[in-house]
Amino acid sequence: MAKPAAKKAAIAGGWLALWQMVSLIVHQSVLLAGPLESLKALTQMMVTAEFWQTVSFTMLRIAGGFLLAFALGIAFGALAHRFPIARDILAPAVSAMKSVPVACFVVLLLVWVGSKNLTFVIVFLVAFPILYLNTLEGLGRAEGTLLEMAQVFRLSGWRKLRYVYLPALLPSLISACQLALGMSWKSGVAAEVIGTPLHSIGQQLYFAKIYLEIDHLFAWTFVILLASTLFETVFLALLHRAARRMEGTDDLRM
Amino acid sequence: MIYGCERLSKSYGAHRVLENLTLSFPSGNRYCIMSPSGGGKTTLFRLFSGLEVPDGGRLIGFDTARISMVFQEDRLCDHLSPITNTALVQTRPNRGDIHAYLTELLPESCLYQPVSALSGGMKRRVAIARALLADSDVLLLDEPFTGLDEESRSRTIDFVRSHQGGRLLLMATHHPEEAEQLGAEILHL
Repeated sequence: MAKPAAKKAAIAGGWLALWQMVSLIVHQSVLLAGPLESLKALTQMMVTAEFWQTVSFTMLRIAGGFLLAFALGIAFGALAHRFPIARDILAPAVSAMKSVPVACFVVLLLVWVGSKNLTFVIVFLVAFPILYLNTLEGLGRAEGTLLEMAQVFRLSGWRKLRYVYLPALLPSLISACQLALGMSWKSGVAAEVIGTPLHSIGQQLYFAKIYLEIDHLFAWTFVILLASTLFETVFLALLHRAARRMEGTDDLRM
Repeated sequence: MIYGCERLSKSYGAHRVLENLTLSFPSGNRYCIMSPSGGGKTTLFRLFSGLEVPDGGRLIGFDTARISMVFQEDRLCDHLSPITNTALVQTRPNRGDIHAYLTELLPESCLYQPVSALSGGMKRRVAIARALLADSDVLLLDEPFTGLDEESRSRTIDFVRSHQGGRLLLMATHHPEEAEQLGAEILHL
């Protein structure tokens, strides 16, 4: 095992041991379930079909909401960069999405769209302004001198986008995606806890609270962390790969 | 084809840079435009290239011509290789041709490296090659040989001479010897 990995494993093991020790001292699983109890709850849940149905319900809606925000955030960011009037028109809506607490949107959306699609819409509302504003900022960072070069040499819109705008946009877009992905899972699950849609992770967290099943709470928390890390890792790897292909140094069609 | 300008004027605020300037350039010729610093050479090139709009007067031929330009700065895409930077401004780039032309100015080993990894002099030569190899009718070179050592400058001037073709070439410089080596007619602003 490599040295840094061994160090990380030792640190994690130390914290788990401390958690187990404290739970033994407290000795009340309704207050603090230990890691072994939580693991046991998780393995019991994992063998049921309902567990996988619940995970896929939440994951699909969070991924869907995020991907829609990603596509529209970039599209509207580009539109607002090109046409300042579009930026002015969108500004109040984006400002509202940024400032209004998620709980207010949840209540409103429960009335408008019901609990089934609540997560999808909430995730979109949280992720869109992050992606929109960072797209706008990234495109604004495209070097004026390179844009003049592109104008003089009459570069096509596609080449301008790929070789002038994209390198300026990518750093902002990648950090926006990291932030938006984290926020999507936090807000999506929080909305589910309030709205308790059927077969959602949020509903399971709500049940854990009602029935004081702290081991289930920890087990579901672990599932959320795992799912969000997995989604973030896969999405960012695909984004990096697409960016490398688009920015490739010698793949201009010749 | 005749390019030029008639009674061209341009000001920045209260500062009048060009006033009633009339010039005429037959295609295929070379001209070296000289003036003291701040004399309006770059402004003139920016007007010819369409980056600025004149306050008065009119351009002849430049507004419809395909322009290629060496700016005072290199203005290259740093993450792209010299080959791709050059191909970028061509309608139908051919890697083999570009490779052959660039080896006249640069070591073969650096042709596929990102230009960010090249020295200042190499970047300058890429910027010059890009302008010369672009599909264009007019070449505008704004102090193109700045930062090149004696040997590179001489080789690059030869490159410019041999690849001008039938295009109009206008160069802004402070060095009369560059105009002489290029075989360009000197115009004082």
